Amino acid sequence: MRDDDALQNNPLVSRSALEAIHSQVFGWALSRCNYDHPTAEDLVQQAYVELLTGKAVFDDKSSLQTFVFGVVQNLARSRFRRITSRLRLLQTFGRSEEPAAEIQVETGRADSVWRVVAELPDRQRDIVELMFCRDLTIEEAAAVMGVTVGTGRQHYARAKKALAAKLDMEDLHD
Amino acid sequence: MTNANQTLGTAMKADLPEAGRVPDFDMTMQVAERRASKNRRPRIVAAAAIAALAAAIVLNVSRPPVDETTFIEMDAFMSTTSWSAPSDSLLPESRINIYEDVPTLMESTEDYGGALL
Repeated sequence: MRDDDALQNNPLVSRSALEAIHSQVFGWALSRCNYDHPTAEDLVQQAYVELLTGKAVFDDKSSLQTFVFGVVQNLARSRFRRITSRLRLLQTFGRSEEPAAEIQVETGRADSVWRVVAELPDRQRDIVELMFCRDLTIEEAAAVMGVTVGTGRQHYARAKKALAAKLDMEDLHD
Repeated sequence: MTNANQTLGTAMKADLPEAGRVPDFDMTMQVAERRASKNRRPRIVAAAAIAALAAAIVLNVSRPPVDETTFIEMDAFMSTTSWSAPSDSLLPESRINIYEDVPTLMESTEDYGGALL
């Protein structure tokens, strides 16, 4: 790490390390916002703002990827909560003539394995993506999702069982 | 990891949703830096406002007290046995004469621990 490479308010985070995981972070952000490109870009920028301002400080207890994924996850959650409460307010105060906007899940190609993964319940989908696609361990995936390792294992086992049935891959749950 | 797990992982990675759509890192960081500096500006303004308010309070407290206005005319007060609450229009009119209107006190001839109640 060069001296000028580290972030001012996050001395353990370097720009080069962030750049190395940038595409993974963007991919994770994409799946946090139903594959909406502008929203994902905004999420990643906001995550970097958190790192730049020191609101989220990396303490080297986990990998940088796990940490940044966690920041993105938290930002997406709080954004989703805000949107949900605004929708609820709109419905309460008489603008309910228009049906509430339903979030459309738009994943990759129709024949893609992602389509099958997208049909899983949220937590199961998340753990499959984190472990199979982002190469995190089950402990890291559970940390990103904000659940215990035991709960993470349960989601993982259920997800693999469901995927094995849907994709006709018998040894997936071994 | 089993073969099937590897197959699934490979299939997912081969069709990454972000493939070919990842925004440039430097550009993203530049925008983030701009947003971070914008976030700092309101905080600086708020801190300055708080400092100014604190200074105003300290100056006001440390200023010598001005002679307080009293609403009791001492001469009038000492020359009469009657007194009413001064300038408090919200209170009901109440005047007592301490020589004529002696308040009735509750008394008892029962003693308690050697003292009359």
